[in-house]
Amino acid sequence: MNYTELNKFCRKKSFLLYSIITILVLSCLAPAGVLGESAREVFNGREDASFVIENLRYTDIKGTGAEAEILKAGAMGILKGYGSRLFSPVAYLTKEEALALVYRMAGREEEAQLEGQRLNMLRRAGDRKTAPQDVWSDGFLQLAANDGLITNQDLQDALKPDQGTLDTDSFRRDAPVLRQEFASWLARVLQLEPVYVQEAIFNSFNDWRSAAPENIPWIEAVLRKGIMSNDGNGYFRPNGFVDRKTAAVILNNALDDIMALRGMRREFGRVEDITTAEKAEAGKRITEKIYHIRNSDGSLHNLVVDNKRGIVIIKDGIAGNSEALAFGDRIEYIAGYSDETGGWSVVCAEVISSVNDTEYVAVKLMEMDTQLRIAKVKQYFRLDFPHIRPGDDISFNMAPSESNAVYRYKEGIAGDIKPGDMLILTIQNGIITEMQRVEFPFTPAPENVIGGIVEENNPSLGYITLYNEDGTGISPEHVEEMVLFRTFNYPPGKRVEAFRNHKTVSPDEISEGDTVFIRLDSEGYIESMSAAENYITRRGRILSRAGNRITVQYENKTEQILEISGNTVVIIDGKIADSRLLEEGDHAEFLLNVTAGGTTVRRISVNNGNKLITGLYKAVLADVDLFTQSIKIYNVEKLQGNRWDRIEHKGVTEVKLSEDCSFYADGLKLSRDEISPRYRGDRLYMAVRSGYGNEEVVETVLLTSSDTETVFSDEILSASDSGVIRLSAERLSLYCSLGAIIVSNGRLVGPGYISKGDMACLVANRDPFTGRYNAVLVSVIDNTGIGNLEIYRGRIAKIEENSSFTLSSFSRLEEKGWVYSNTPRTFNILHSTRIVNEEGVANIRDFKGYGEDSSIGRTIYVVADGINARLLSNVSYGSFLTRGTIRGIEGDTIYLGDVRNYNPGKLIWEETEDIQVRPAPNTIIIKNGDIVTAGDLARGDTITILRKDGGSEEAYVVITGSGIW
Amino acid sequence: MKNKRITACIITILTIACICSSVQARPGDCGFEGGISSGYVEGQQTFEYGEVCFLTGKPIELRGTLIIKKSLRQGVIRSTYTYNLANEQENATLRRVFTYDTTVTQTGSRQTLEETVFSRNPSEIVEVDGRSYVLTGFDFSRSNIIDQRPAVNFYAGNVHGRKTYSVAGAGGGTVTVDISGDFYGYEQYWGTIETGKYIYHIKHTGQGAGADSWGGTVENNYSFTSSKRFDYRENIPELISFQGGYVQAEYNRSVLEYRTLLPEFDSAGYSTDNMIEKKGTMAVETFPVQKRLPVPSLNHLRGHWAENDIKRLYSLGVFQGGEETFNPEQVITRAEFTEAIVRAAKAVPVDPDLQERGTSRVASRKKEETAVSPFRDVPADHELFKSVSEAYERGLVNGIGNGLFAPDNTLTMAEALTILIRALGLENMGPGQNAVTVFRDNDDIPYYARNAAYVAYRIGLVQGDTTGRLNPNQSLTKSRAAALLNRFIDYMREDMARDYREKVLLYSLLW
Repeated sequence: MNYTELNKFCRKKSFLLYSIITILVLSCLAPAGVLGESAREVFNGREDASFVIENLRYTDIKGTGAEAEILKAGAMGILKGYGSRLFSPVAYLTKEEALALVYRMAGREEEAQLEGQRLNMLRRAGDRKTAPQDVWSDGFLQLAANDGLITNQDLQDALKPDQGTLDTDSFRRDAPVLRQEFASWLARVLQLEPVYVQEAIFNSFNDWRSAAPENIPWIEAVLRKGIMSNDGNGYFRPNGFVDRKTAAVILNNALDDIMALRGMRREFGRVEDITTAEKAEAGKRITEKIYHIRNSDGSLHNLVVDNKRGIVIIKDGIAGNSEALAFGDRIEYIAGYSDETGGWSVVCAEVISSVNDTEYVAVKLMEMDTQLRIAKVKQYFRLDFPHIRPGDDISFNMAPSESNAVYRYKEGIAGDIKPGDMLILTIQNGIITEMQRVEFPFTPAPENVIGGIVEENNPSLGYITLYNEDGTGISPEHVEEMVLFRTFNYPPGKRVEAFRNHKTVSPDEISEGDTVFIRLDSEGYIESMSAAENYITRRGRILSRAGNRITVQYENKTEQILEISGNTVVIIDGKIADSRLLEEGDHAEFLLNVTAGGTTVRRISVNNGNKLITGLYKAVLADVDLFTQSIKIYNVEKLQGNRWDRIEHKGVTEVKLSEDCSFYADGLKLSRDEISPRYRGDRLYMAVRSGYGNEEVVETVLLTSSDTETVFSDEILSASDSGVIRLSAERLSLYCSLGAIIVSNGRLVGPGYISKGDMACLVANRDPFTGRYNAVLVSVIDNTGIGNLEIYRGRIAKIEENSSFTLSSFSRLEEKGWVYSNTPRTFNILHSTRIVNEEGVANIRDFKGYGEDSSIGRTIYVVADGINARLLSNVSYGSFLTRGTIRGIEGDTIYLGDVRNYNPGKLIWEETEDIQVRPAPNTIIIKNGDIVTAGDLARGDTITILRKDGGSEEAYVVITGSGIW
Repeated sequence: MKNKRITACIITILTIACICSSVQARPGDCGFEGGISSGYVEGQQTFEYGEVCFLTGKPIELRGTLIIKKSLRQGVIRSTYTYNLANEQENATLRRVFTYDTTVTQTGSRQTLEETVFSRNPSEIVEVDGRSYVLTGFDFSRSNIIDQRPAVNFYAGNVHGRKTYSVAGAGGGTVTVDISGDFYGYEQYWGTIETGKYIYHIKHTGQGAGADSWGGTVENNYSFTSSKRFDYRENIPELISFQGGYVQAEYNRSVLEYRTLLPEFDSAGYSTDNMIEKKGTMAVETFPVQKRLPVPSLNHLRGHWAENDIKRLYSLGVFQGGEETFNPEQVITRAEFTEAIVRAAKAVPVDPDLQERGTSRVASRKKEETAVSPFRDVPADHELFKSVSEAYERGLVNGIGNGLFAPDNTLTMAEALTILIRALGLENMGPGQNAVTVFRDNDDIPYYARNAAYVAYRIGLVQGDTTGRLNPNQSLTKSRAAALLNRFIDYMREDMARDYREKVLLYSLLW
């Protein structure tokens, strides 16, 4: 634990706990650290400090962005100003200056002086140069020629006294140095390793071809070392010039190499304390000021100044004396060995930042938004200084919950930094002010397995975000905690193993709200995930549907709009179905994923069970019995087809109320305890569904005092959500009020659900004052008729036992009678294919083409669904079609009214008197597209029958529905 | 320590003694044959019973009586089930006597395991249309695990068995029925439920010439509940000293759904290849037993938004005393809430048939023993000592640490939810990790209460306020506590049962 952390944590209220621990630890350690510890090394100031500072008061460097570098270069005496407080930062470095600079960097000034003097001595006396600078300049050139930086021809050119006579290809010493030349000289003088392999770094520059081939390995070397770099746009510009401020920056970038060659040191540390001490020197009392510096390697250094020796301090772009140093400052101090004193003295010190406002974090950049300038990073550890050097004291001091962070960054600092880069961030007051790409000298060891609740999973964008470990992280008030979001990245181009409820799934099936464990690989990418769902189930009814949005009413009467997405699984009666098959009025269980971000529906399981409406009644209210939860009624009539029928029971009867039975009257919804006293004796309409053990249960009741009832049986022309239903034949409109019972396909629906063309039975009361028809009951009639079934008759030519059979030729029953076809026809025999005869059900296994009971040659009826036979019957041949409505059923006799016989000669249905018919055990009976038995026929059904002739009471085929084909 | 446990024991027994319901749907009251019964009604030994017989290949609904005799000796329950069923229309009868031994073992601090086997040879004869099916062999085992929580006992178990019948007469043979069933249920004061799903595989093997062999499956889903319902009755005369009051109705109701997949038989009685799926339902219920609940004098609350909640809690005895001075806007103390929750989440009733003889005597003899309080600040002579120590013994509440309960401190929403969810024993419904709730002030919910808040939302005990907040750290007022407790009681009465039923039944229960 150190100050950096203390500082960081103290600013994060959310980590109060950590802060307390840190403070506790620090309160015992911090003072002891300084007071009780003796310095490992002592650095003295330099005697010429005030002189140097005076010389560094440049007036023209402010705003160059390289102030510190220029001052440092000056303080070290490597790149000085031109005097008169001018540095001339934008002046181009000349070739001779450049050579002088690189040799000074390497500490070879003395050597150059000697060469210069030697060269001067070789000149004729009159030609000798007198100014030492000129002599030395020549020395640098000679040295360069000696080292092979320049050719002898170049040297000759350079030494020509009249430079103006040289042509453009010649080496003019006062011409600006080219970047490639400078890079090459620098690399060679600093003894960098040339890089001959074509390397990515150089290749990534757009203009590398314009560099001289011999310079390339050296350019490569300086690029690799980070001494020079591109211009920010992907160009190296080998033939560009180098201005003096850039030279200062390059010098600073090369500091480590310079230090080594010049026998200097460069240290980093933090001002931990400042003390004064008195000492006697030559009989005088001298006050020493001691700066206690905690070095980045953890040891304690003392920088000592007194009245003679000071330190050149570079802070905020200005050179000053040691008074500028403050508690908490992070400094870089450069020291040289002094043979005089036999110790190290500080050449200069730069204040980099203060622990009070700046921190450095080693991170991996996970994502960045260059528009908003937001960087999502994985934080590894904090650093004292914006670099990692061998021997630096690094500890993994990041709390697990902080490992993912989001920061904003300053404009213009991102450069070509991209996700995946390892960076050291300089974070000043919570904003990234600098991003520095680094290569870590080690593999960060991230936490291996993380658990939590998924906030967001986005495999296509490559990340998953979890909530905080303690379940917080959704309150908008806690913006600061945004930084603490736990985001993990999918490895690019690699498959991630994912499990959900211990079954292998694709990663995108892990969804918001899931409990998840994530295992990370050594690079911090997701390797494997294992999740379990945290879903909520709710039951309810679909009130309405518009496209992919359904309005659902839950059992607790709350309503919600749900969006059906591609991920929503729809299950209808136990089988996966298309979501378009969801209908208004369906009862379903909804599997919901309720998260802070909203509700998504994962599964809708429709199970109408016994909730489908099975009957519509009209009666008079006697009482609502709250104790037994039932309704007592009399004069009960049931809607059969399109007419009311009295039920068998006479007088008062009772029907149970369902748990959520609704009551409506006068356009109001009422509670069940309000009904009895107010509406006793009123007429009511109710819809019932079947209950357990043959009982019926009331779902909804509509009470009305009006008794001007009319029943319509008509085709719907239009129906609107607002409840206006227009009829085709009657040419009038009916108005549905609140509570009107509208039933379609067994479901209670709203008026908007009825479609144009539906056949319906409608019950309405006529308002005596306005003449308006108020609909109380609408029952959409299922008019499927024969559906997909077809009826054939023909002679059996061949039987493949239990497999198939063939008719030699066949007739097919159509709306106007049999249609003959003189071709054979084969039908499949399935396990479910049934066969009936006079006695009833026969065994299909006895349907054989051999032996005594062979069926070959016999004529049969076949009810088929495509090529599959559903029912075989040996009932007699008939061709006389009659249509009628069932008036009543007594035993096995069916009484028909509204009878019409089909006259094939005139192609019309002719009215005739009422008849009675009796279906036989082998009669084919079809209702709503399915084969049924006589017991399924009901009063009110309209049927079409096939008989032998108009006088026959035997029906061979019975099909319900008015338009059967 | 020992003292404390004895105290707890006495209290529990005493409480049970006063809350025995007159109507109860006890586990096992429906037998283990996939049928349904009307369940326990005080003073009745004979239950109405129904089941579906499909030995003939055609479902036949049989109805009649079931008599259950039980005794508990040395941890073994011996129970004899006698069935007498018939269906006149189908000319069918069934007589059956099964005797089981159930061993009860404690397997954990809260869990017990029940294992049931036959103690004597089972006997069963089914006659349909003059043909008799005689049970010749029955392998049977049933095991059930019971998890006891402060206010609810949850259980889940399985039944496996194989019955063999011999069919007499021409076309006879054997019928083998493989049985596998799962059942789930819970018992608590406000209602009990058992739901189950039994699957039968039937195999008929004919004998002699022209023997007919066939097979089919039957699925039986049942639910067996006892519930309490409260209806408010307005007084009709005006000149009466009190306003209307609540009537409590208790009843048992069982429903059965069956789905059969059996071959169609031809007119000669031979099976065909056509498999017919049939569905049917049966229901058995008791006539409700009603009780008028006391009417509190809360006239000063007329029109208050929590009037009905408070009134109902007084009627149910959850709130007691101080009606005239009841101030709904006052904050509730920890001790007051504890007293209320002890009455709202009453201990699970025990089967009156299974009380070992002498327990009540033991209870009365030890009654005088000095009580030791678990908390230093709730001494034995504290007004609410009984409730607090009962709540503690049942695991409904913990202290605040250091042997203190802080009875007069206020109670926050978060604390209340933690207690309620613990009472139900549903803590584990939360995600394994720390839950994230949907409340806008999720981050303000104390760490310890977040899972409880999550579960409470999920089961519908709480919803956010109009702005989607839970306000977890607000102290509960008495009116808010009343609303919460009422919702809690309704949850125990209705919602829990609904979840069990609807997860097992294809249809849903009607009322």
